[in-house]
Amino acid sequence: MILASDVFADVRALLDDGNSGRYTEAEDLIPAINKAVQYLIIVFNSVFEQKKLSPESLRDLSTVAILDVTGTTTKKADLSTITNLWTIFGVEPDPSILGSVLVESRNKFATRMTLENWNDALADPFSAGTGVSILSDFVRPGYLGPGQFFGDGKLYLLIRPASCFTADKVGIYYLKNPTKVTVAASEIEFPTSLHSLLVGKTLNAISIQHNADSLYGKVTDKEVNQLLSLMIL
Amino acid sequence: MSGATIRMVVYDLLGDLKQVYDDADLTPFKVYFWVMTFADRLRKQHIEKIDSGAYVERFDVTTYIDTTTGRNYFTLPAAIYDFDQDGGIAFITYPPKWDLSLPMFSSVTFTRTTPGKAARLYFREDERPTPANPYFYRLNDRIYLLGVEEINLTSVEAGLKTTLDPNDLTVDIDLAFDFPQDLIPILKRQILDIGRFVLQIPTDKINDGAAWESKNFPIQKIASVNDPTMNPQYQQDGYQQQ
Repeated sequence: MILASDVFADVRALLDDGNSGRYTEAEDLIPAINKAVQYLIIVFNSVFEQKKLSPESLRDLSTVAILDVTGTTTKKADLSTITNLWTIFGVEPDPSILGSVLVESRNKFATRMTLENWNDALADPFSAGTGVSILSDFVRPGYLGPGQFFGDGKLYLLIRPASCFTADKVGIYYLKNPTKVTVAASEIEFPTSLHSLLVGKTLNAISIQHNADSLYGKVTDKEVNQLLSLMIL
Repeated sequence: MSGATIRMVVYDLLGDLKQVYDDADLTPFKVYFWVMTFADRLRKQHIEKIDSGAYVERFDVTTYIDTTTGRNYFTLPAAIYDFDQDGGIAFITYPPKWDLSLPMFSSVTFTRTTPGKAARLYFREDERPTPANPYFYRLNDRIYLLGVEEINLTSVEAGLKTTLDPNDLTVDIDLAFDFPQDLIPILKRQILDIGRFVLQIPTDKINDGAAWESKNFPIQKIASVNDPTMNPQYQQDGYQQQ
C-alpha cells in the first residue's frame, strides 16, 4: 500500500515551488496521481502481456468474487456485480465457499480461451473446455469472455463443460482497479516498492502543462523493465 | 497389483515435457492418450513374448443364440489383442457353478477352430463337437460356440488378454497401472521422443500472431493545448515575432 500523502510530500519537495502555492492538492496533485496510477495500469498490462509478471503479484488488488452460474451444457456467470474489474486471472468452478466467501480452493481452474479455441474445443477431447465426454480426472474447464453475449448490457463469462459444476457457483479471481485517490489520506493498493516510480509519474503528469515533449503516456521497454525490476521482491 | 499409478506416469511425463516447452498446449488428457496407446503396444509385445497369466482377465459372459442362424455365441466383453491364432483368448470354459457339479463334460475348455476347419470336425467321432468336446471360433467381436447346441448354455467363463482402452471412462487413474513396471522407462523414453518431435516444429511454421505484437502501445501523446509550439496557427500568425 502507498499512502497518497507520502507521494504528495515527495512531489512537493521535487517541485520546489518555494511555497508559492502554485500547486494545490485538489487541482494538481490529486488529478496527477490518478493519472499516474492509470499510467502504471497501462505499463502493468504490457508486463502481463509479455508474461514477465502475473497479475497475482499485485497482492493488495487480488480479490475473489463468488458468483452464481446458470445453464445446461455451458454455464454462464453474470459479472455485473463486479464493478471494479481490471483483469481476470483465475476462474474456479465449484470452489469451497461459505455464503459468498471463499473457504478453500479445491478445483481445477478454467483456462482462458479465445472464441476460436472455444469453437475448436467443442469437438476436441484434448482441449480445455471440451464438449466431449472424457475421463473425469482429465477434464479441464475453459472459459470465454468477459463479453456482452446476451444483449442485456451485462458482462458474462461462459464456462464449459457443465460437468465441472455440482453447486453452480464459480470463483472469479480478479484484479480490481486501484481505488481512485480523492484525499491525501487515500491509499493506493500498489506495493511500496513502486513509491518512487509513482512519484516520478505524478511529477510527469504535472509537467505536461510545462512541456509538450514529455514522454508521459508512451510506454517504452525501458519503463516496462523498470517496473519489472521494482516488482521483483 | 501394486506399483506406479497412471496419474504418476502421466504427470511425470507432462512435467518433463513442460520443463522445456512450458507454453506448449499439452493437456494431461493428451499425455494420457499417448501413455495408453504407447503402453498398449509395449504391453502387447510383452504378453506375446512372456507365457504367463499376469495379464489375463476373467469374465463371466452371457451366451445367446443367433436368431437367424441358430448358432450359440457371445460378444467379447472387452477389446482383446489380436494375436496369431486368436491368442488373445486365453481360455473359454463352462461357468464355475457347472464345474462344481461334475458332469464329465463340464471340466473342459473350448478348443479353438475356424469356420473352414470346423466342417471337417463333424466327420470324425473323436473330434466331433459335443458338450464334452466343445469348440469356438471368432468372427469380429463375436465368439461362436460349437458342440453346445443340445444343452441349455446360458453363460461361459472366459479368460481374455484385454487391451488398454484410452476411451474407458471408468478407469481409476489412482490405481496401479496395469502395465509391466520394468517397461515404464522404455514407455517414458518413447513418449518423450514423440512429444519432443511434435513440439519441435520449426518456429517459422508457427502462427505467432506477430502482426498483433505490441511492445509499445500506440497511445496518443498527451500535450497541453496551451503550448504555442504545438499550434501551427500561432506560428503562421507571426506569433514567433511578437
